[in-house]
Amino acid sequence: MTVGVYVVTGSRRYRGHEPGTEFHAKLEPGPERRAVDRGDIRVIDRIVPTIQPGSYQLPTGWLTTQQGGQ
Amino acid sequence: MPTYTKKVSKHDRIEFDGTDVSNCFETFGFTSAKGKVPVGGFSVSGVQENLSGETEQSFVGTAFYTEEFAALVWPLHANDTNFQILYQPNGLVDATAKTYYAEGCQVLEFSPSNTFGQASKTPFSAVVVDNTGIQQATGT
Repeated sequence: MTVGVYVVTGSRRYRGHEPGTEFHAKLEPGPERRAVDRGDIRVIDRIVPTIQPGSYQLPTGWLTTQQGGQ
Repeated sequence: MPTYTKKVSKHDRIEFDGTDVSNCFETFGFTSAKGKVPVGGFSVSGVQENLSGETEQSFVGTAFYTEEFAALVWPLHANDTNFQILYQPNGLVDATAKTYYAEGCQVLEFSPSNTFGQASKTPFSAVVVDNTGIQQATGT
């Protein structure tokens, strides 16, 4: 599944995102095209969401000592 | 005696097709009205019986007419576009406020009309056109 990476280019919030901010979303083709045509958002990229190494933390005590935990 | 919270309407959040239009409106709301289907039969009391019928839903308001408003709403009207309307009373200052939204709305009437010396305003109405109707959600 791919999602779009967008930046809010207009002077108004788009789906709760402030102007100038970047957000990830899966927008339907129609609403996306209209928002781009109006100048409210710009498509920066299309990505497959993944969890990057180091971008998460397991709950305390989740790992056993055998698995390398404390 | 317990009291209820009172609020003065100042911070309602309105979105059309994802775009915030809150500041464009001075009044906004929606109606969800069920038809009344008479099903009365002869009885001792003679009182009419009714069942709730079909539901008609629409969003209505008064907008300040500007180029920005026309650029957003006219194409939706002209192209018979189905688009999402979101309405969150007090939502600009309280993200947890109840939200009402409908995924499929159409602007069937676009009727701007100005009066000399007065702020340019236009009535706005959009009907709900898909059978999902207006949904209520808790804000985040």
